[in-house]
Amino acid sequence: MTRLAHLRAHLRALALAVVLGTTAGAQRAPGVEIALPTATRLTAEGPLVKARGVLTDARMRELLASGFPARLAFRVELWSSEPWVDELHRTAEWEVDVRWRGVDQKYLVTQIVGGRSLSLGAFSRIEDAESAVERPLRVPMEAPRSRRRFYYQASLEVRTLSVSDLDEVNAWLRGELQPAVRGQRNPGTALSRGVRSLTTRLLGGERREYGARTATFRAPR
Amino acid sequence: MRIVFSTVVALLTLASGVEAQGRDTRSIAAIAVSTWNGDGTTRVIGAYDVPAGAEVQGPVAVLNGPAVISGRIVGLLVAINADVRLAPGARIDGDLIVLGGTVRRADSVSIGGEVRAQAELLRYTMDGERIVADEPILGDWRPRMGGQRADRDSYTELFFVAARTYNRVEGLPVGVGPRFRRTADWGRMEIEALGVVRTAEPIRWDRGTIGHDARAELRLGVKNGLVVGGRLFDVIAPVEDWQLREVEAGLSTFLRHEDLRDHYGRHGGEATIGGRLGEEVSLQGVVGAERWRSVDARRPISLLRDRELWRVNPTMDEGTVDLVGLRLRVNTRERLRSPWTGGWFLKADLERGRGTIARDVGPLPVVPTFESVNYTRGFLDARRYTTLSPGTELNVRLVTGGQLGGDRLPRQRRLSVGGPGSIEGYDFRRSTYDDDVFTCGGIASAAGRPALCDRIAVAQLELRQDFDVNWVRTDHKDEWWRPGLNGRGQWVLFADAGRGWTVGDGAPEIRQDKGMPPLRTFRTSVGFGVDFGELGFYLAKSTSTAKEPVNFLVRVGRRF
Repeated sequence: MTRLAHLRAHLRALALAVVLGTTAGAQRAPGVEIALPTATRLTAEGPLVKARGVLTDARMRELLASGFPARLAFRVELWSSEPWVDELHRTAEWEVDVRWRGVDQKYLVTQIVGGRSLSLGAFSRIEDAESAVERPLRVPMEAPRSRRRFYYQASLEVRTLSVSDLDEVNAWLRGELQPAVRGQRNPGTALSRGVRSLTTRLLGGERREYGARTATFRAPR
Repeated sequence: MRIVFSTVVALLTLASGVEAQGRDTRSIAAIAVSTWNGDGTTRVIGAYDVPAGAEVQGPVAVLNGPAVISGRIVGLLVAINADVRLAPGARIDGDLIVLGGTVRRADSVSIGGEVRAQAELLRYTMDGERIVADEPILGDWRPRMGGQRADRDSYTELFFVAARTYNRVEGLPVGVGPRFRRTADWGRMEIEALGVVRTAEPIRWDRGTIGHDARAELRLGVKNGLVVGGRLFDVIAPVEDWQLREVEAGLSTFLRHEDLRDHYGRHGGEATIGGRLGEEVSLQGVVGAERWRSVDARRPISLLRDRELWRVNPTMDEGTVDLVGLRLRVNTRERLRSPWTGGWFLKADLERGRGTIARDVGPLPVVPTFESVNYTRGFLDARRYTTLSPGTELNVRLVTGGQLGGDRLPRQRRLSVGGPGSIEGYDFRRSTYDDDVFTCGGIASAAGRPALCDRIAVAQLELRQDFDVNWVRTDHKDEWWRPGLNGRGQWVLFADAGRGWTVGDGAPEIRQDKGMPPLRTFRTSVGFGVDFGELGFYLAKSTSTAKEPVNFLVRVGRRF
């Protein structure tokens, strides 16, 4: 490795560290972060993705403590920048599930990729659960060798399952009353719960979406 | 106590590729996994605490953590997907390896070896007590097609309850009965036998209140294959359902006292045979025999204007028909990786009907005159969803259908345009300033303003772009109840054009016997709105009829 390459690697590592390692600050704006691999690894490995501060706000913690599971749905796409219409090349999705288990008073954090779940731990403190949620993940989506200019787009949807009220009312009006009945809830209130969910969603209370994208880059041929 | 956050240094060490003399040059992941799997390693899953004054013989490997060290570890400490907190006075005689976690250390901590950390998480499989690191394969990370998981479920329920779309004829129709589904390696079998109870008043033990809907389906092949089915029914069905989704039609009826559909009674049975390619493409041949009847609006409750009369449900043709048809469904909207084959939605129906019906029965109790009918009708709803760049979409929809041959269509098979879901700059079945190219005479001539067009054509175009909205409140600071908006939405610019026409009958301005009417006779509108995902607000203005006022629309979900 030449001296220049070493220097670049250091600079990239510094940028990566600043992006991914810094957790200082009492209140971080929630979001999703995505960082490119080093220039020499662009065609060998994919981007590093992590959530940031999504469980810090009081409302989210209150919902979790009340027994509403939170689900973080990540999506990463590899696009090429084209003159007219950008082209989507690859897509990856995974989820992180956070729920409170009352039996042993712990937060369970589980990551699900392609139907396979991986326990990220059971934690007594919400801060530890949040730390587990925010562990960066390398997505196996390297850029192909090409003359094109690429970029990665990451999105994160955070929802607590009380939002399923809305799905329930949708299903109810469509022909699926069973969820309301099975859940020992009064089917007659499903509509009002749906309307309430619509309102709370409008207020941004129970479903949130975040996005981030990398700079465009060329993958060396 | 001053906490020093050392992840930055550790990452620098990781990324630089500089190798210290005598250092283990394997990757951090390889060291961590081999340490965990080592014979002499103390393995801990979950929280690990070494209190002050305690001494533990290494190597120690902690999975998930957190590892809180206040005492001494004689040897190596490895943390996998775990944070490590080193309290004042903590001592680690060997290396500290952290994979998928961070290190917080007080300044009075002593570490005899190196600190090496890698922020990214390790995905692995447990083989007994051993860890096997996963080989990252992108195929495992690809999006799953929606609904597939639930579609594979098996169930047996003796008391299944299903509600259908709220409407002014039935109120809330509730189906109750057993259902059964078994999935196997050869395919799937599904049986459902529901009695239907309609909640609109007056509730009596008659066909207005009681119906049934039973069906059976056999799928041969798990992903692709043959589908054979049958259905027996006595239900109330909508005349047209292409403009609005079920949830919108139901909410409009229940909340606003405005049912934007017409309905008729269907009693009979049908048999289907067809094939499917995954969940994306299916083609069905249908043979059925039905008795059609006219049904009146009843008195279901609504949240607003409950004391007002409902719009009359128009009278329909009555009689018996034998139906033969083809149904093609294509839905590749979720196939995002294929720019050309993904992003399509196609619903195409072809129906041949033969039978004896009494046309235009009317509300008066007269002896109906029956006539033979033999018609062919087609219907196409084609949509293309194109993502121009992340967060920007250009979507196009074309809806066309109507009589293809034979006799004049029964009222149950006629069509209309205008209003929510079609040409949104015009009201639903109102034509104050214009020729009635919306219902082809239904607005002025018949109670309930029925759809009387023999053919229609509608094109819709929309451009969407994501935006973030932070107005008044900020989620991570403010209480949840504080008013304001905070989330992501989409700006939507749209344009609609279309009209209906009659064939072989009707006033000159609405009649077109061959081909399509001139494009200048199409009604057009443009609009703008914001879509917050589940709820969208739009303004639409007719561009072909100047006097038509601006319409404000609330849509649940996407426009199409």
